[in-house]
Amino acid sequence: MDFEFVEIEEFSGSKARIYSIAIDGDEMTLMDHFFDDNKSFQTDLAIIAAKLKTMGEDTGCRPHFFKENEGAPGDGMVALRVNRLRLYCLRYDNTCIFIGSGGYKPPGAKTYQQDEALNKQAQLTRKMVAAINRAIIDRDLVINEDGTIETTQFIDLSI
Amino acid sequence: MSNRRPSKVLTDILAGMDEATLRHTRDRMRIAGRIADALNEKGLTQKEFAAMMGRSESEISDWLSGDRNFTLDTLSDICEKLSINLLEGSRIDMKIVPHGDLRLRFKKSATIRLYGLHEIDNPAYVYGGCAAPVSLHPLYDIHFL
Repeated sequence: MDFEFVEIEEFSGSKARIYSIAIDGDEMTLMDHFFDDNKSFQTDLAIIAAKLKTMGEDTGCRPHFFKENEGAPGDGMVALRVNRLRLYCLRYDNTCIFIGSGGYKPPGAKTYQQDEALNKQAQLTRKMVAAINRAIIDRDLVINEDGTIETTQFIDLSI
Repeated sequence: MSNRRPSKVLTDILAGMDEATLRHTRDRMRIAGRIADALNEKGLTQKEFAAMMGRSESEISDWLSGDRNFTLDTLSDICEKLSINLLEGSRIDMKIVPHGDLRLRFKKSATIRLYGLHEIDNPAYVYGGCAAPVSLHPLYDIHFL
């Protein structure tokens, strides 16, 4: 599956650029699907939206706003948590995050692997994270100090 | 990507988001950031800070997540433990000086606000708060470094 980067203009601001990805020409990004798929959690979604907006415009994407170490060791995958909702992202630094997917974490699940639906979204995000990190290492993706991104024509964005 | 179709749920949430919700979130995150900065400056881990505060590590993690709606008392305790000022004017710096030798030295950059000057027996208590500067008894000089 191929994907492309999409800057989320509702959240990007002077302090951070916030991106998600669209897979195989999908009009909606993973982040957009997350909001639609979890619409029964309106209050929590509103808090997530407010936090992302604040990160973009005011505070930046500071690491302590997230639960870290959600993916492979050192890959930068983090979770934005509000109550039992989880939104998995790649946090590059204070100025740049890539939002993946997520969902509801049931009370009985200590890890996302223990819930099939959440695990599916988390694994999708892990693949996104791996692909982005690969592109960074290969220098096909450059993330500037202000969080803007530049890609080469050779970039391989597939999961 | 120019043909993104935003989530309708997200669009509705943002359209209906009131100023108070955004402000509350922003302020909680700003406070969390300032606490995190203080921990970094002091070289304190979250575990060490939890021990200082008599709280669990998970509670400290929650504090730093930007979700916490702190009570004033908790903020006051945090200010005290980390020697930071999250509450304007809350820190009360007291200096007890001998009665006949009241010369207070402050850094030039310090903001000095005095709201009271009391004499109790021999010591004179001079303490700062958050009021406009008041005129001083001529016995008391304030020298700035």
